[in-house]
Amino acid sequence: MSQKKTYVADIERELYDQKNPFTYSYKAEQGLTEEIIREISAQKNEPQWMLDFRLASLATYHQLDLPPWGPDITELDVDNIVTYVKPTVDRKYTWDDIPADIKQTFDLLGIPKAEHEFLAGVGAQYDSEVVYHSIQESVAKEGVVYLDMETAVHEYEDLVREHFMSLVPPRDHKFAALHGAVWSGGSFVYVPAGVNVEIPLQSYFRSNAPGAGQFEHTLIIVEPGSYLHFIEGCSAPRYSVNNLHAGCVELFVREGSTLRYSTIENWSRNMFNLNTKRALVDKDASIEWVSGSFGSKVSMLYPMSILRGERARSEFIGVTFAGGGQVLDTGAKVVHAAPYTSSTINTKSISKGGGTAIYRGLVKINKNAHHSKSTVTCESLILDNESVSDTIPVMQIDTDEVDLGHEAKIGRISDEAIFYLMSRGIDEEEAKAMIVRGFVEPISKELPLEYAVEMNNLVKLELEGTIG
Amino acid sequence: MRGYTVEKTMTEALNTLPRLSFRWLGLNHFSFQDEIQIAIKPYTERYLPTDFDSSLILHAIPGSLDQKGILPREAFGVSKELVELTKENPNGGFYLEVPQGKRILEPLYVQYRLSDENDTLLDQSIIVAQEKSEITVVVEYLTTSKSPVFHHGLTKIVAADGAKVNLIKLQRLGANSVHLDSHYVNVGPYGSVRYVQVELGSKYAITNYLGRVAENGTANVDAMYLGNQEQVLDLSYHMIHDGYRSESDILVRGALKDKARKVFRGTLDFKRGARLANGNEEEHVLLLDPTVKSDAIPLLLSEEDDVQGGHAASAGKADPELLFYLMSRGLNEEEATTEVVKASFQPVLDLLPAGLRKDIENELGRKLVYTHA
Repeated sequence: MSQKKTYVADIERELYDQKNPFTYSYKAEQGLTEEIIREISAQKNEPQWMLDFRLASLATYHQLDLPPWGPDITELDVDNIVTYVKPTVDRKYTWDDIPADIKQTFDLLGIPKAEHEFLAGVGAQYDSEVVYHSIQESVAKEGVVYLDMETAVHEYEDLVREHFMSLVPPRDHKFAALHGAVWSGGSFVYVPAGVNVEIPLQSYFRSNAPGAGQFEHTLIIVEPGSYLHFIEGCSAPRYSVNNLHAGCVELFVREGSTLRYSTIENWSRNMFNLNTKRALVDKDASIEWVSGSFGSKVSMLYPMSILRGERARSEFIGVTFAGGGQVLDTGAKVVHAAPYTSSTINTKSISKGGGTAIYRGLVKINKNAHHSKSTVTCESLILDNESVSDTIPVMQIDTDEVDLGHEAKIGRISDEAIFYLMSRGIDEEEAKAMIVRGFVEPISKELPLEYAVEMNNLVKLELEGTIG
Repeated sequence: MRGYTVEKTMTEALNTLPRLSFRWLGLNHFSFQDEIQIAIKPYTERYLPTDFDSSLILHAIPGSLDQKGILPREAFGVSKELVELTKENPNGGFYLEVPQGKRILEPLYVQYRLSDENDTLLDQSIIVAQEKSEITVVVEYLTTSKSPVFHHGLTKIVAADGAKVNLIKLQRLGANSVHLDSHYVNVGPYGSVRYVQVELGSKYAITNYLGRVAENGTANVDAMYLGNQEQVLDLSYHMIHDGYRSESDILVRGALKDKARKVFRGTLDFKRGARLANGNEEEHVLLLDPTVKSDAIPLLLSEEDDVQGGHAASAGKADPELLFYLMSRGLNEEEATTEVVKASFQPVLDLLPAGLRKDIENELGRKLVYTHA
């Protein structure tokens, strides 16, 4: 209990560490201002501490610079970030404004008509309310809490206050600070000790606050000995004129529990997807990430696992498919911070039509993390000579009792394989598609069936060049 | 030129990665903690061999030097600042040209013996191998007195069509010395250049290699290092595949002991048009003490679909079963460890001329056994 108190104090201190927290309010018209933050907070009827947190994050946001590494995001108008945060009324748009290719993709993926307008961000809430409530009720019997973040701030104030942005502090980077200032929507899940949640919880089936899906916050706590599979996003492209996504995911995986976190992300091709995901993994616990990145214009996404308890494990499998005009900079980070911890990272990336797929990763083995084990495998496939694929891994080892292996390969689709398939009566396009499906198979088999089917459809669509 | 002194303080970051990554790790480049000052004065000891094949053009630098066509288009080296300084104020180095079709089988030895008197060396060397010629050059840096020395080398190798160059570099400078070394290698069509690097001495060893490989050319790097006490190694290799069917292979074997730390930066870079190119890089390091630090950043960049590139890195302790076996045969732990390290270094040791190999093996043994001297 005393530890809890210390923790809260730590967060509080950040508020006061700012020397001049609110000196930026003079940027009245142009930038993101204190007034806007107060307004967001007031609309949500938030407790004072959350408003203070938002304001401190805003000050941090103004202090931090953009990262000097990674893809070019100069197109993102950071000086005028307020246009992404608080679009003016006349920026409202209707179904007719949605690009034709997006509409077409909904049909091709077989998304029910009822969901089209919701996904495009123009309809009223998609009628998922019913599904959401029935799921919520069924898991509630076991004491599982599954709420939207806004409600959780009120109903589980202590839990939220203790954990909210403690794993991804606003100081982390500029967009984490922005998130802290303007977050809206997202999910809160609490799984009590020893509970095995049998059905995967899907953020898709949740009602969301307006503007959510842009700065949503996901906070999941799985108590000792429990199990949860959480699925984020959906394979259909989600369209938004506010083309910045700076979400944040914080996962607390307590002793002996397992959390599987799956994402298939397919933002529309105007989106800057600058998302931060992090898991804190205790003794004998496991985090399993499954991550598919298909959409957006630019993505920077490197889910991080901090293995802080003995024998904690992390497993990351990811597939990234970059088409024309896309720069998808994705990967995974693992920090081994305790003895006998283990991690695997297994990624596949495909680039075509002038797309750029980048794997960027980190394995850090701290001094005390003796007998740690890590295996990294990165494979990339480039489908034509207009596209680019880079692999940028870092391995940092501060002790000798480790077993670390890293392997990366850039390969091509061999002519022999295509020739063989064609000799069996398969046309060239389909032969290529089969090879790519085989390449991503290790990932798709980790997904629930309907997602695996959707991912295969996506791969097929991407290869036909229908999207984008 | 005689009697002058040039003084310079190093300010730039060294060995900057061709692609930057997460800032908080502090691994995007290397920086000295302390200010390093360089005072260049004439280097007075002879370093070139007196006896060599008369068909070779070999003379010391500074001398007349036409660098047209042998300067790389891109930035290279440990840092731009050091490259410029060495290009303008070399106090050592040589120009070597091997005429067309001439195959020199006997290695050419160049030895720099740094000392109290000659404590700063900025050598610039250019090796030009004309069509279908062949040469092996051995360059050794060592110290003959106890005080620390400073060295930055700038080496350019141009291998014309079908030419073959082997450059073997041995670094055995005394403790507390600073060793910086920049290389630019240009491999022509059907040419091949092999760079063999042995890092055993100095407090700091910061080295940089940029290779460009044309069609059907082959570039190899075979490096070994042994870091002990508080040694710092930062080794950077960047292999650019420009040409069709170009080949490259980077193989690095290392061992770290005591409080040694090392950063390995290896980049395979396939440019558009390098169809059917094949590149590989591998780094394997033996970690012999819990106090070492070992970082590896093996980048793989590609703009071309029809290539094959691979990198592999591994790090870990010496195989305990192997150690146990060797100790059961009567070796003590340090001797057994030495054997395991030598076995790991074998692919690189095998590339050294026989006399040198024995020498290096002995030195490995000394460094591994008497670390607390």
